Amino acid sequence: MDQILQHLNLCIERGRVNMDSNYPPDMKGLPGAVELTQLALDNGLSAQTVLNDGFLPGMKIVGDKFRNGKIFLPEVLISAKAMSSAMELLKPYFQSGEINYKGKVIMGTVAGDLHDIGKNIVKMVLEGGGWQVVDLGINVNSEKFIDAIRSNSAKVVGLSAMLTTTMQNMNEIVRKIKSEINDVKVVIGGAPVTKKFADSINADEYFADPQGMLDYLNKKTKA
Amino acid sequence: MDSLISLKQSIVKEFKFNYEACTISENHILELLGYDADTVPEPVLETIIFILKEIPNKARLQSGYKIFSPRKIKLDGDSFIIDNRTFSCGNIIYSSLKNSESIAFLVSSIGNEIEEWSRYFMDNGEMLKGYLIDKVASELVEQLADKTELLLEDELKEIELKATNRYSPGYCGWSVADQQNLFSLLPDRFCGISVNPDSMMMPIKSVSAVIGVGKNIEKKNYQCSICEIDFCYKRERNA
Repeated sequence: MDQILQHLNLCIERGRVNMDSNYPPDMKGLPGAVELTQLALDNGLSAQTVLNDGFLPGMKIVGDKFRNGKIFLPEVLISAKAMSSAMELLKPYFQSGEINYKGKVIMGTVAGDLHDIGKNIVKMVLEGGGWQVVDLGINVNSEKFIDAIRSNSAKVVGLSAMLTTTMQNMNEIVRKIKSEINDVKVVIGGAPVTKKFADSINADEYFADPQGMLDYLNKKTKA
Repeated sequence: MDSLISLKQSIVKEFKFNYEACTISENHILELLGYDADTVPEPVLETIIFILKEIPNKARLQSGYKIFSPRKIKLDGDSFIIDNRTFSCGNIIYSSLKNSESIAFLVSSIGNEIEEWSRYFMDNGEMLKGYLIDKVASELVEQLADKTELLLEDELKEIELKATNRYSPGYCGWSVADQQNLFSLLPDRFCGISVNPDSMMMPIKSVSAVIGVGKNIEKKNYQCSICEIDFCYKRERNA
C-alpha cells in the first residue's frame, strides 16, 4: 500500500497524469496519478488517506522546489495538472463528506482589476494542498467579499491585484471587511503588492508566492 | 529649435502590423521563463510551439504615436505638462526627459483575442497553456512597442531629432493613474485602446509610454538599480 502512495506522490511531483501520457519520458508506459489513485481506492485505502498521503506530500515537494528556485512556475502547473486530474476521482468523496478539506478560503481579484492569472495559480496550489477555494473571480467589490465570507463561514480571505491603481482599492476592501467581520484574516498578494503596503492598509498577511499562502494556511490549522 | 519648426503642429500616426512584424522565438520565451533547450520540460516546449503556431491567427497588432508640438510642452520639477495637463512622472523619468524639447506618446496593443484564448484554457483547467499564452502575449506587445519606438525614431531622424527611452505609467515611479491623462490627449480609442476608471487599459495586453524628443538628448539605460519595483517587466527584459 505504501508503495502505491509513494508512486502516487512521485507522479504528482513529476507531473505524470496517466498511463497514456508521454511525460516525463523516463516514466513512459508506467501508470500515472489517475491510475494509481484508482488503484489505491480499489485496494481499500480511504479517500482521506489517498489525499493526505498520496497527493499532499508530492505537492509539498513541488512547492518547496519552486520556492528554492529549483523549478519554475510551468513545472508547478504541470504537477498541479497531474494532481487535479487524479483529484477528479476523489470528488464524490468530498461531496459525501468522507473527505474533509483542511478549510475554506475565499479568493478574488479586487474591484477594478481584471487580471486573474496570479489568483488562479494560487487557487490551484491551495487546492493541491487540500484547501477548498471559493473563487469570486475578477473585479470583486467589498460587498461581494463580505457576503462570501459570511455565507461560507470562512476564516481567511485572499485579495489579489495586479496594478498599482487597483492595489489601492485593497485598502477600502480590507477596511470594510474588518469593520463588518471580526474573526477573518485578510491576506493579500499580486505583482505590485509588498509587505510594507500590506502593513499600511492593516492587512493580516502578504505573500510573495502561492506556497507562502499555503504554508500560512497549513500553520493556522495546526495552531 | 530649428528642426522643431516642422513640429508646429502635433503629429499623429497609427499603424496596423502583421504578426510577422514581430519575431518571437521558442528560445526567447524559454529564456524569459528561466529555461534553456536542455532543461525545459517537454510539455512546456510543446505548448510554446503550439502557441507560436496559433498566435498569428489571433494577434491584432496596432500601434501609434503622437508627437506634440513643442508649444504645448512644459517641463517643471519632476513633472511634464502638455496642454495644461500635468503628468507627475517622478525623478527617474524626469531626469531622462529634462532636456527634451517635445514629448511623444506611444501606444501598442495586440487586441483581445489572445487574452480570451488564455482565459479559455484557464477556465478549462489547462493552466499551463493559459499561463504560457499570457507570457507570450506580454512579450509580443512589448516587441510591438519596440518596433513602434523604432518607427518613431526613424521619423525623428528625418528632422534631425532624437528620442529618449520609453517610460510607461505605473513604472519607474510614475503613477498609473496618469493613464487617464495620457489617453485624454490621444484620439478616441486610439489603436483600439480604452482606459477604465482604475486606469487599466483594455485590451489588457496594451502598452502606453512617454518618450522625450529633442536635439540634445541621450538615450539612457533604464535605472533599475535605483527603482524599488521588483515586478517590473523592464527588469526582467534587461536581466
